Amino acid sequence: MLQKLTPALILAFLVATISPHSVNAYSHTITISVSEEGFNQSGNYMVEVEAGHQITITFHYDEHPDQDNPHEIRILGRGLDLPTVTISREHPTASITFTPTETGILRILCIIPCIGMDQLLGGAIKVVKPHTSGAQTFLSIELEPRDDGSNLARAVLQNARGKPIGDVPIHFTLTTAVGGELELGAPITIDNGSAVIAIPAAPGKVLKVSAQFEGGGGFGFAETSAEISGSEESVKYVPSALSSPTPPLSLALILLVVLGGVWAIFGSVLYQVFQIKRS
Amino acid sequence: MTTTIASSAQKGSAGLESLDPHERLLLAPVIKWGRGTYLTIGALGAIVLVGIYAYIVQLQNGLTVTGMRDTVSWGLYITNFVFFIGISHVGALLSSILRLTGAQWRHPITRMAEAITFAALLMGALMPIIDLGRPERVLNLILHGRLQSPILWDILSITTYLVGSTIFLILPLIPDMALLRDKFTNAPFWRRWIYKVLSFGWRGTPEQHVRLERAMNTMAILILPVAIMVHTVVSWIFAMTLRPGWNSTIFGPYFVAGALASGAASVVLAMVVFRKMYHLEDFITVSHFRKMATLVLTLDLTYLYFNISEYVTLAYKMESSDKALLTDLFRGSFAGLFWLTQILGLLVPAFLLAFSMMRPIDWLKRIRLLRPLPLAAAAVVFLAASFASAFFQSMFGLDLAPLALVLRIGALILAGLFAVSLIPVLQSRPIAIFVIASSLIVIQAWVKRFIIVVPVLEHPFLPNTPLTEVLYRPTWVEWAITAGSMAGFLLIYFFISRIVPIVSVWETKHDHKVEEPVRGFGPALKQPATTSSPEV
Repeated sequence: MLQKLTPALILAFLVATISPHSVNAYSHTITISVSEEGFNQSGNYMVEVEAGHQITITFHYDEHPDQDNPHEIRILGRGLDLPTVTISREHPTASITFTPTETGILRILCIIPCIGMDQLLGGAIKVVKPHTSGAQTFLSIELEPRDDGSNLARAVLQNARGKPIGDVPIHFTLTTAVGGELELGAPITIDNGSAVIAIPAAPGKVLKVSAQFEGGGGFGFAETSAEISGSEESVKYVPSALSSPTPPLSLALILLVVLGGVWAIFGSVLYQVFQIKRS
Repeated sequence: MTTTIASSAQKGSAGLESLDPHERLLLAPVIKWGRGTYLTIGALGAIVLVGIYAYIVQLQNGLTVTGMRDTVSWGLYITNFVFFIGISHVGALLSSILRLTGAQWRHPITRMAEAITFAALLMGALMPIIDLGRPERVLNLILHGRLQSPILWDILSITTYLVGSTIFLILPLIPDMALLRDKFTNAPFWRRWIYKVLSFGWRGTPEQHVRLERAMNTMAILILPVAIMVHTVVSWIFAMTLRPGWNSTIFGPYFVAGALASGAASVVLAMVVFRKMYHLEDFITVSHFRKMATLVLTLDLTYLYFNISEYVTLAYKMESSDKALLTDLFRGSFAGLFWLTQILGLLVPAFLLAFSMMRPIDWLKRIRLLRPLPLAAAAVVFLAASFASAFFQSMFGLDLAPLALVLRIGALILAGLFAVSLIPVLQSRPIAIFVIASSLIVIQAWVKRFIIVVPVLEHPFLPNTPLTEVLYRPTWVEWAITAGSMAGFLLIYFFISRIVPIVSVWETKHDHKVEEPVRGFGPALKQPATTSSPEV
């Protein structure tokens, strides 16, 4: 039954062009091919656009000519209420133009017959705050492995003269395989311009960590990212009592004593009841 | 003699001559099934059938026919589950505590409470299976269950409680079953079989009494901790996660307090209905209602205290992960339901119940200004005028804001005076107050469970999940199954009241004999005898 429900038609996203960045409002143009091949075709990606700038997304019907699988596509996101875009063999191309006003992730999904269950897979479009203009800033990032398998991300923010900028937030994000970018936090830089955050252990995986300074106070936007490979050796996992694969003996004993005691008393009561019958 | 009773009962007449007046009154609903009985069973059965149809639709198409998705994966079914388990506590509370403390006034109401427990548990236990979508997978919990999982603790504790509650319901039934076995010999075969099996050969000998008392006392001691365990474990299903809104250390007692309040309120409603329907005015007196009202008020205030403790501590800190949820509850899309539960569901019943216990405020009646209807009408007029002033302001550009403010303040004052004017009216009808307060508490209990379950899931941990993807809107399938489960609960409860006397015959016999000369709510009813139970 689940297979029946699993959408036969899903989206394949191919990013075609993004216009060059400019100080004034600009527009993004994104072309997305739609077929039944699934999200796997294009893997996971994240396209970043700034709030307040216009986006035009063109959907292109990319099915086999023999097949007639119309797609009804919805774009979901904070502050958006967009009409459904329909493409089919007869109408293979359709565009939608809109201006996102709020930050967040835009999800694109086919609503027949997906019924909204596929939005967590595949790519997404990230709407970020408009980049602040101002004096040039430089942001560097270092990822430092720790003994327990986790990593430490240290970002340093400096002005054009190389002087550290303190007391401003640096936003750290981790690119994840599912669910897009995970916001790790926004520690404040100290006097030497550095802000530090811990990254959880991910054995055998490549971690991409980004740091972003949104600007303000006369300073302009800056961002940087770095990658680090997690140790191949799996981190020694010490399960706690309730997350261990087998129940701890103490828990099993407690349950046995409590429930066993209660059921034994039930038994004794029923014994009394059957004695009533005999007496 | 028995033949006469049975044959006349079959004809539907009131010929219960072989029974004494006490037995006749209490056994009449069991022996005589009139048209009303069949109509009630038919109406409730029809709603149950609609629920079953909706469940078949869900089985055929999967959970996609519900409003639940991967983010909000618990909805009405789990709300119903927690609600039913909650009201099931009342059997343990009333029967166990009152029995152990020797409160004789409990006799006419304990069976009502125990039957609520039984019926609510049957429906409550069904809900997680319905929520599974693939019901056969419940076997996985038994075959591959992890002892470390609160879900498995839940199954174990609910099963234990269901068995315990069934025993606790059956034990005090034994002498009454024997009475029906002996005197209702012309009953349909299936009912005779039930009476015979569940009377366990009762003849009322001293030895049988001793054994029965021993068994009942044992169960009275045992069932209370089991009931508390069940609802604590139900709360742990939520509290043992790290989700904002559920990550709480007081969820165990918080849930137990809410369960006891709603359970006690549901018994008050049952008392009102059965008193009227089965003419039990001599057994369930105003004194019983007053005692139950004291209990409901205490539990209502306890639950209110837990609510304040839970939300104020979170709201004071406004930790970032809690902020979105709390804002949604206090000022957002769930604010209406949230404040409804807190004010209309807990505060207002507390005031109503407290007023009912105060000495009648007769001097209020003498104030000619305090007349409910004119005050209500005046408040409505003031409110309408304030809205009209806003309309005229927008239409003609007049600055009527000060006038609108005065009118709204006036409407508020009039509404307050209206509430005060209601006090003497309500105090002259105490049972009406109890019904209103109890109904509000029971409705609050269901809505509060919804508020505990759904808003938390609508605020997922996954980053940047658009709100449009996580909104939960129950579908007709869920509403139909919910209605079916409520009707199923009422059907089981009503059926029990038609199969066995809903007021214990043998336990109330002595009380009633003492009070027999006094018709109505005489003083003798308030001081039942304290002698031991009579033989049947």
